[in-house]
Amino acid sequence: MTTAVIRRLGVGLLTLWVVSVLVFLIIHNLPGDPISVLLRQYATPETRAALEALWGLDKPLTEQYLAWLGNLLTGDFGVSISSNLPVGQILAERLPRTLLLMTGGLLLALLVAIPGGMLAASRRGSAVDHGLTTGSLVLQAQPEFWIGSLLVLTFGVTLAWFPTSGYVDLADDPVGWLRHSVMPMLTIAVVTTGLLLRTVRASMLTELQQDHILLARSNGVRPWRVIGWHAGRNAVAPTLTVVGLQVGILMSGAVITERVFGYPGMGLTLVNALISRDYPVVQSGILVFAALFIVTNTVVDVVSMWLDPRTRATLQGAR
Amino acid sequence: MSALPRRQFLTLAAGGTGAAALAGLLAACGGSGSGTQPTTSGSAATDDAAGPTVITIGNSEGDPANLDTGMQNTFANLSTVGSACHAYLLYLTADGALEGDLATGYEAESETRIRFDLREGVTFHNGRAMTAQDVVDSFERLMDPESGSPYAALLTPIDSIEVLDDLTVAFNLSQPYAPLTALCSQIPIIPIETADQQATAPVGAGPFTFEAWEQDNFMAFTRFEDYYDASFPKVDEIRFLPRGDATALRSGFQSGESSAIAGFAWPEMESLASLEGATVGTSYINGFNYISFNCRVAPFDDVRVRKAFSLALDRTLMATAENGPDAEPAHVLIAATSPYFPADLTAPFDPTEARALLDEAGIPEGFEVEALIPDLPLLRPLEPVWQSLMADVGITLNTRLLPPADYVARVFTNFEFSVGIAGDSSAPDPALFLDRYLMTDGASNHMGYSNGELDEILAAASATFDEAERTDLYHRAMEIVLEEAPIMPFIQIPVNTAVYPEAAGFTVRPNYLFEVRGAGS
Repeated sequence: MTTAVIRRLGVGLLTLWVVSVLVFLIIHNLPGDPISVLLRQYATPETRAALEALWGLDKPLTEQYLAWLGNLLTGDFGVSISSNLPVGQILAERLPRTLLLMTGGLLLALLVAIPGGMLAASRRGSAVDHGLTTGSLVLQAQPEFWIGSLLVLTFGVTLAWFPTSGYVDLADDPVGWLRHSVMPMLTIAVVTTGLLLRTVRASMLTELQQDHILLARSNGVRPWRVIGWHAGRNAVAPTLTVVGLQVGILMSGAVITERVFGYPGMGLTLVNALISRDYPVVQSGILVFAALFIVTNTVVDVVSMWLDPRTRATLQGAR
Repeated sequence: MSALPRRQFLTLAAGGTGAAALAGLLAACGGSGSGTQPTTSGSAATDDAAGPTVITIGNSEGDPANLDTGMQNTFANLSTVGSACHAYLLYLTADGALEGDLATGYEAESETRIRFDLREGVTFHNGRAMTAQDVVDSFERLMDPESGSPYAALLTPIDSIEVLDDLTVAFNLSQPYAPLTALCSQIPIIPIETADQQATAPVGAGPFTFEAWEQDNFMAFTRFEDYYDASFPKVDEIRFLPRGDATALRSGFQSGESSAIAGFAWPEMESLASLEGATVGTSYINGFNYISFNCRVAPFDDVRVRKAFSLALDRTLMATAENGPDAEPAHVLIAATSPYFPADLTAPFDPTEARALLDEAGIPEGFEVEALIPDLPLLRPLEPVWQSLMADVGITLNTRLLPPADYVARVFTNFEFSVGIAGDSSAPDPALFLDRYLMTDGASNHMGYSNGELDEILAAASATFDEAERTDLYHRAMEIVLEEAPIMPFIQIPVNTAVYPEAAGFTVRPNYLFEVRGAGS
């Protein structure tokens, strides 16, 4: 298993390098540049040349890339063109907020999806099953901005239970933080729950037809134990894989959710950086998101192996 | 088939109820409609009699990336830091008049020398008294093209700035330059020792002192007790909430988190006006949304084709599409509030004449052309209206919405366009817009338009302080532009505002600085 993990990490590093090249090339080849955005219609050749020299944009692309990569390897993410702030500082401030948002949303989704999926599978074909599967389909079809706007109008404007937008730091005011985070988390949870619930249901249905389940039942094991332990444990592995893959979708969802709720996380930062062509922020931000995606999926794979003896056995056999 | 026992069901239901109860508890903890930061004291209103008065402004321009308004003069910057923290030599009022601010007055001693008399007893937020040397330092910081300041190109006619005494300063110009006074309402006067911190913690001499900034979340300022005019500001604290998303902007006002908002689309006006106590209005800034042509390429190198476009353009309809039935169309590139506004000049709407001109230009069957539009909420509704108007005279517009950065690069940097819609603004002197756009070597002349006579007229208008002479020169200039149509404005840029009584007096000035020192009941 250790070899498999090391192999996964190696592939992950290679993927990260490819991502760094692609992101660098794409952002530098987009129409527009930071100087055009900054000076707009006021650009003169002298000012443009001065700023290009200041930010190293007058150097060949290869040289710019190697300089950026070299700095990255020493932990230096560069300096934001727009704000003059170190990119590392921006990432350190914004990324945890987005991760908290995503984690909270995902946990809320799992809280509903796991029991919901188990319930639907255990009552296959019943009204409960139809209600849950149809409901999950409906949820899955809702875009984040729509759900977010509905929540804002209902709980922010009409009921005035929660602030409609903004952010309070967790360390400064935990209750305030939670009040500002509930609706963004719910938005993420709502759009994620549908897929997860259907995945849990499908995995459970497969598991419930296995011989060991029939054996457990014939031995008189209580129904809740059969579902929650014997079948549920094995059904978690495929769900975890989907959760890992969902991280990418959650990241893109966070971008929209943060904008709707004025939540100053990494998503909003990336959108603003992209609009202003702030190359160092976009490059480093996307690379960090890619790294997160790779690490999460590696962890998910490892946990899945640990949870499912069949996978573990296959890997041991392969070694 | 197995089933969950009833007991497990009840456990799940209890869990759900618990979650709902937690939500209710959280809501109760924060109280109804609380602010967005821990220290915000309530729903954008005055607190009890002993508490501080706070107003919050929701800003559709979002948050600036850098708070140095001298280095980045975006709307996001000017409307927040520029409005609250800084003071200027001159103050531009909401109705477009220039009044004394840090200067009590100015005088053109000759065509190339302007003297400013500074106000006595002005103190910066860092406690130091302002002197004439601060004016010199503040301008010189931005004049160097290598500084990267967008103002550098506009300040090139300044040869030197001379300190005459502690409270008098003179600008020596390389050529007569009338727009300097308008620029003086937008160049912040700062204590130069704070230049390096302006990007993150600005210091000025304005009505409010910078307090805190959390990017993309809020910006806070507190009353500057030593502000030179003791009757301002009206409130103790002002907060700006960046709300680039239309839903966030509107719902913030509806819930009472914002005392005022600026920059929403006109269809929202009716519903916002119906909120208790709210008043809505529109301010027009010193800038235009316009259609411009690439005069280097066919068919727009032919003045008859450009003129046909102009005749086919119903400016009233375009203005209405952008900002509702009350919107006034613009016909010339001079603001209606300017003393130089030529009220008698209008661009006619005559599709029949447009078709005749196309016939004369040898394209009676019309033509097809790609038209670029920056993908901005205010401009999006124009797409079908413009297409339909042009289709009436046989011109097929293949419109393309581009991200604003792409638009600037394609149109203003690389000149890769045929025709497009855009918007721009400037400090309130016609020269600051017209010279840039219409002079042959103007920094914003993306049209490739060149007219020697117009160059001479505009140069002469910039070089005289005589109002009557300038009025006449700009009248002639606008006649030429209407005749040759390299660029066609159709509306002065509107900014819609909604204000609750506690922020009464809040408005948007023509240079996109917010009126905040007089805001607050």
